[in-house]
Amino acid sequence: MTSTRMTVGLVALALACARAGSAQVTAREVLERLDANMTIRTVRMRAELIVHYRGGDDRTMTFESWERGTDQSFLEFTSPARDAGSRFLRQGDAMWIYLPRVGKSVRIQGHMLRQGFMGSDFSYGDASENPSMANDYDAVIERRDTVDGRQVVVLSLTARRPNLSYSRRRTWVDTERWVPLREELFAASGRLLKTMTLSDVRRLADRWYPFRIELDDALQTETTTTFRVLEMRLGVAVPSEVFTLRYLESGR
Amino acid sequence: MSEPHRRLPLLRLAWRNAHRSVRRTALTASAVTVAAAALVFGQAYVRGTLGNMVDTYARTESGHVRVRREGFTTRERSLPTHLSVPGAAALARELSGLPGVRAALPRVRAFALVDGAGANRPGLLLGLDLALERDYWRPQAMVASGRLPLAGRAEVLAGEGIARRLGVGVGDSLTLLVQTAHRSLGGLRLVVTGLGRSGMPFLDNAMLIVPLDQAQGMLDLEGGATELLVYGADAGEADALAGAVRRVVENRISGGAEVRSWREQSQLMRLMASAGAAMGVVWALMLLMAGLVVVNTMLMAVMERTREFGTQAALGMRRGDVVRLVVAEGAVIGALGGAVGAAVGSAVALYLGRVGIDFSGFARAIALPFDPIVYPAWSWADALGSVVLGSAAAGLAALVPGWRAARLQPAEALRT
Amino acid sequence: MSGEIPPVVTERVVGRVGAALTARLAWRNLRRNRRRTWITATTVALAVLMLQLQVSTTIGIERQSMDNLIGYQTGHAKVLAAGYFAEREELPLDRALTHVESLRRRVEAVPGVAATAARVVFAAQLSDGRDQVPCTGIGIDVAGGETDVFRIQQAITVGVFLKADEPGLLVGGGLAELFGVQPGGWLTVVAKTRHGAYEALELPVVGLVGTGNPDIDRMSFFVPIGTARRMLLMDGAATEISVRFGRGAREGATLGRVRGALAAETGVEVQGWRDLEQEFLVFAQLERVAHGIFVAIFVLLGVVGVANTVLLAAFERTREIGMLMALGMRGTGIQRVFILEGALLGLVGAGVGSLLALVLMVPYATIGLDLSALYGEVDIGYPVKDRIYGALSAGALGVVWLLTAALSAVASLYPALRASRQRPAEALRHV
Repeated sequence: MTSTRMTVGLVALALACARAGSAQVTAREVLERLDANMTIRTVRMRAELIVHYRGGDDRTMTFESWERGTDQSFLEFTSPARDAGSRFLRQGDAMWIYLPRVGKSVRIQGHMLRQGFMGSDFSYGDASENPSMANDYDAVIERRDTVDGRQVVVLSLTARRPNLSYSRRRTWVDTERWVPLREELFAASGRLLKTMTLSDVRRLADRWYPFRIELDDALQTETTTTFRVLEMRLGVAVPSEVFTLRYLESGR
Repeated sequence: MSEPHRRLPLLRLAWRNAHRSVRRTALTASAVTVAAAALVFGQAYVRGTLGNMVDTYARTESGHVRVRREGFTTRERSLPTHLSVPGAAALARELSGLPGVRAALPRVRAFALVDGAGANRPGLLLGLDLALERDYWRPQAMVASGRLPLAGRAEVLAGEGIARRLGVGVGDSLTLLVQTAHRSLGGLRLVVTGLGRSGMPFLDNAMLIVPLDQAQGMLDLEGGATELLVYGADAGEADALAGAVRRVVENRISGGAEVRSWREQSQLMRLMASAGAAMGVVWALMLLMAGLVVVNTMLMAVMERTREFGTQAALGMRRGDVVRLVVAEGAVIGALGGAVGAAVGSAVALYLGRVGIDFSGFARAIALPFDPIVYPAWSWADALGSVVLGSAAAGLAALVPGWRAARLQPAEALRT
Repeated sequence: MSGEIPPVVTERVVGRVGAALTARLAWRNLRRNRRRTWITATTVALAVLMLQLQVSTTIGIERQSMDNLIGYQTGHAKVLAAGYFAEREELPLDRALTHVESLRRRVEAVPGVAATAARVVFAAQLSDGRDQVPCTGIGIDVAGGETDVFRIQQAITVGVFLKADEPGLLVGGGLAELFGVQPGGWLTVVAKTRHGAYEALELPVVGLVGTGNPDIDRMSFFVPIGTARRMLLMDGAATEISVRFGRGAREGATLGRVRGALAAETGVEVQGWRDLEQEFLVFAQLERVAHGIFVAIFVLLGVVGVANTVLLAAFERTREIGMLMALGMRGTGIQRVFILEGALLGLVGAGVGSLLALVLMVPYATIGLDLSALYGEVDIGYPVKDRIYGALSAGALGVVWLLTAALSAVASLYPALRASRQRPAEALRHV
């Protein structure tokens, strides 16, 4: 994500406000604005990952993360104590995990990709993919609707390339804040695989961001996952060393 | 001439007659010898094989009694660590104090992702108390190269198959990633101290034997284990033992406990019972065969002694007594032959019982809990039984020549 | 007797005793003491009966196992893309055979090959919405050779077989048990396409299979190949082509010819079923040894019976032997007679035993023995399910029969030697 895109997005936003109430936005435009809002140049975050189990238990973890664009992210768990110090690094397609008691990084590949990140419903495979909606999907506006009192456009997305995990998606986009409020992820056949519900949308500098995401795997009822942002800062300077294996293993 | 009826000292006579012609006796007895030897060794062999199966199964899978968290077994396919037995180590110590309990062993069994030299593959993590398991799991018997890991150290005995596929050898490191008892991600880096060969390919391609404390640490089990195996003196007492264990464990495991004796865990018992019956048929057949040979030889013997029987008949020996005498002879010869056979069979069984019959040259059974070395299990009951049975079979067989002898008319006999 | 025997008689007896004479003598001797002959023959018969039944069982169960392995999993050989075999545990879809039909035609033209069938094997998950279980999916070409190469439909325990153009699921019994699903129920198959996108299909369960092989029963399900290909975006590709050889075809030679026919193809390799099922072969060998030890004991007893009888005969006919020797018959001639007696005993006894075995083997081979009634669900190690069948092999019957006769002859060696060692004078003095 470059600043150019952000500028374009802002300009489009301005234009749209100027013409408020007149022409309809096209699906592609919606996607572009969605991308513009959701894609961040750099961010530093503190968040919570909660896994809910069928038996009624919950498991809560907190972590801190740095992200740059869509390709680089670094994550370190801070609580509970048994998970503290566990780290995760993504560089493009490659992902590594580091556990303090292992003392060495392990590349996530093959068998492991199918597993959930730290046992959650977000799979490593999903995490390694960070598609740009506008570039990777074709979109069609299904309808307009309201969710929690907000105006949304319901988009039907079809993947442009065959190697995207989810060939089809349906997104409910809040047309004021350009935030997805709900996402359904489908297999190529149209079978629902996952549902995401996004809420607690807050203003952050020049954009809006959902501070709460709930993920439900449609194929099993053993777990559901909640992701809650505790603190988020945009535009921070993130040193490049953070996204290295050395940093992953040493924390410095 | 009639004599007052007196009881014949049958056994003494029979004994004496048997010794009159060593050659004849030996001939007659030879078949009984083979049958008896076969019976003693065969029973030992079969008992050894089946016992081996049960024994291996009990040692590595079921124990005599097994304690698990309720729900673990139904989900055994994924080995869910979060359904573990909390405080298993303490529970084990308590259970080992129960009367009749020889050992109570906590074990950890979990899937692990193994990373070594670039590739990763799934493996089976086995956390064992290596000292206590010397007589049970016997990991020391599986070491093909290198040595066992030591308690307290981050070391692993890797199955030969999985080590080969990962491209690691003794001295190399492996990283294991597991899902902990809290369903979190855990792991450990371990040094391969040895390569293991169990004789079972599915194990050799997956097993990672680590000290129990390391497994517990890796999986956040905090003194717990995925299962607790209790051993008594004998597999036969398992059911009673299960009851006792159940009472102790009853309310101590949150989430419920599953306590099963080895019988309840598998159909092996049924297999053994059927096998036992089948063997019975086989041995009966063998004794029949031996009996037939005895008939042959004793008939010839009777024929040779026609004169003698004729004389005895003339002297007033009754027919019944003749038959009884011959039967007694048969029984005595059978007992002698049986004794020799039992001795030979026992010798072979005892020798092989110590040395073992090693099938691992032809190697490995598929997924059967099968130790590649079979130790025939000699039993004095079999040895004694074979002597008794041999004697009985020969005695029965001797009825035919006995009747023959009894029917000899004195005049005919003396004319020979 | 003195030497006043007319030279004519001497001539007839002295010198090499011909085979015919030996045989007549032996046969006559056996008939002289019928009871003894029959008793011994019965002993041998019993031993041979056991032996034949054991051999029949071992051959039968091995055949059944191999039939099952070949009939359900491997065929006689598989054509794979180069490098697939090394990675076969990953079930890589990117190592697939592309020009499947031309490969199939090429292989089917090889003499000895009866049929070929393409399969698509892939890693998948099955879900009923509540639980998700990893397993293996097998796409079978129902209309295109599957039933000529494999016989999965014979393993169906409940329900029906798949139809070529109808999406459906045939689920291994153990797998179905996890979900508690029966024909009529639905399961979702989840897999990643060749390129990496998730695909999920909800399919109706049409049947359950039980092959006796836990790899299939507990870990696999079948779908029509068209369904698998569409789902995984495989076009016309296949992960393997399985080959079945003709009935009379010689395995090794045919495999060689298939390899030869495809030698020009660089991206392809051929694996025979024995390479694919090494574990089973080793196990079968182990079992044979174990059974062999057991059977040897019986044979030993039978042999003792024969030796015993011949020895008895030798002692009994000491006088006659003496006479024969005095007439000039040499030791070897006498030995031959006794050895032949032993052999004949063995031949007759084994013949009776084999006949008895044959009578029992016919129902054994046709109806079989229901193991599940005896043993329940125990895994006996062979990939067979429930019933086992004995083998009805004329060859095996004949071999055992003749072998026993030979062994009986061997058993008679010592007695014959004893018989012939007697000195004529002593023998004649014997009463």
